[in-house]
Amino acid sequence: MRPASGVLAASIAGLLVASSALAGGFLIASESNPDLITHPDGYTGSGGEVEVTLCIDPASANAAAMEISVRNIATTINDLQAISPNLRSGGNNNIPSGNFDFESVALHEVGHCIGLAHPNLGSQSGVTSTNSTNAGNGANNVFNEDDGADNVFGSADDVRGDDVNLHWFRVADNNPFVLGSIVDVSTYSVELGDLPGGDLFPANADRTVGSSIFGVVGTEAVMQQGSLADEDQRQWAADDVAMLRLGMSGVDEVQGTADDYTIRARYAGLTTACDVVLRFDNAATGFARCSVSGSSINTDHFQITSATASFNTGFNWFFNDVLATEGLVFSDGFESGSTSAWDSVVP
Amino acid sequence: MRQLGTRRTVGKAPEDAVRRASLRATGSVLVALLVLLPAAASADAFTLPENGEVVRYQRVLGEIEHADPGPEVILYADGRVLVRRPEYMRGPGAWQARLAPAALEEIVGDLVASGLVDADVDALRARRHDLERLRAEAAARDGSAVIYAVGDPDRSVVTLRLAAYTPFGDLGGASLGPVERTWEWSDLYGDATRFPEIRELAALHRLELRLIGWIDAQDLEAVNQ
Repeated sequence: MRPASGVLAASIAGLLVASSALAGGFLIASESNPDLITHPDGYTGSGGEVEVTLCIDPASANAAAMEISVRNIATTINDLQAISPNLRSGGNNNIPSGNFDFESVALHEVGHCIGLAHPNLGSQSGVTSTNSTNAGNGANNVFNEDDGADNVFGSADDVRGDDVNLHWFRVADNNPFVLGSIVDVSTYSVELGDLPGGDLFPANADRTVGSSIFGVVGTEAVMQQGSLADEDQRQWAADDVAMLRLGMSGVDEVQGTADDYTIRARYAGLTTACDVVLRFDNAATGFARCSVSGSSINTDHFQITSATASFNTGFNWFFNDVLATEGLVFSDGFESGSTSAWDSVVP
Repeated sequence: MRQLGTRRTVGKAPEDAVRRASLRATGSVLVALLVLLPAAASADAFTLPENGEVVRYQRVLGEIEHADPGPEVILYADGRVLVRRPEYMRGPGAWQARLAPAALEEIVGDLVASGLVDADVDALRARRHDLERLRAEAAARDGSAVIYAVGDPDRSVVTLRLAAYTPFGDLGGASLGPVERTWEWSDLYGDATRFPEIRELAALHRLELRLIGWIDAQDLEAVNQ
């Protein structure tokens, strides 16, 4: 039942205050509203195609160098493919040692700019176990850091006390490295009571969780916080795609209904007139960030209304010069000419 | 209207060991400070330390995964500016520059004049929270609810050391010393931009921008390690 408008306004006001910080599977979700879903700019509750334009501030440093990466990011969003493995480092990529891959970092930031948050707690939580699954710190205002018997933070046996889960998990198996055909509230939940028997907390798509717990090597959610030099991660993992598709199930959160939408990302060129503006701005960030403004669709759904991804010039950035082709996404290095990962690809 | 040039200094340190703080403000700085300072927050006195660190700043980077969390800038009492960039940044290592004594006093004076030294950080957070709530309530009433969120914000950590300091306003009277204050703020850039009426945050952000200038500077002198 929808609340009366006055109640709705008050609820949203409370939500707005509580949600100025980054949170769980979706930006703007918080301990006071953990199942809130944030949608890209342009989605207002009606189904159909939502166009998300990406552009580069023409006054930005590296404006020309960013173009191929931003085009590729639009392609990655449109392909909506979960790739495993999606991490390449050292000799397996074309990034010089000590460089940060702009396309990978920018994909992460654009992910924020279209509504996604970190699967893990990340640095903003102030904890040492930053790979723990994203949550609010609960009534005691302290994050509970206990990695359980497997000694892996972010896995299903973490003991999290009164922490409030913010991470949507697969009800069937709590495995963030698997993507099913149906992604909506019938298959995903934030309620701990929906976890499979024996699981204590949602597992997240951290690389160590993948390799140690699920036997998935070289794979991590793009939205997992923490960039490394000399590593590329230019393709979504299953958890990233799941969160995007969960959003696409619309405000009724049911896949296959009239309010479902698809995202069509488009590079809008060197301009600031678009949905997601990318620029280098050393005052805004010491490395990379995305800030967004949003408005409510209802108490559980927000849409982003503007977004800016900022980057800092004080790093050796590698700008990919290989333009990706839509619909031709491979996990085996085919498009880059690398055969190093071919033997790990399951046909 | 109180003249900044007549500020009283405090502290018991020997005359030759303590540089009295006076802003020696230029006209533009004077105007800027007078605009920024409400009447109740008229600045009182501080004394810089004889030696050692005066300001230490670290920009803790939100999205980097590394044991070294981010670059640092240290302003010393003798005017030395030490910049340390992590190994993963361009121009890694230790670098230095010089800062005129008057400039250091101006930097510290701006911070002190904002009231930040007397401020309770939790109270500042509460004030920001209240302002955000008021805006949200107003926006919700007119149907234009707008929310702000940020992914991967930096955390700013600033420590200020003074040899002596006299709180002003209701807290005024007794001289304190030595005084050390540390402020930690996540998304200082975003909050200072969105809430310019919180003058303490504005001052902290002005300081941050100056310090970031040294992190970005390409003309620093390498420090032999």
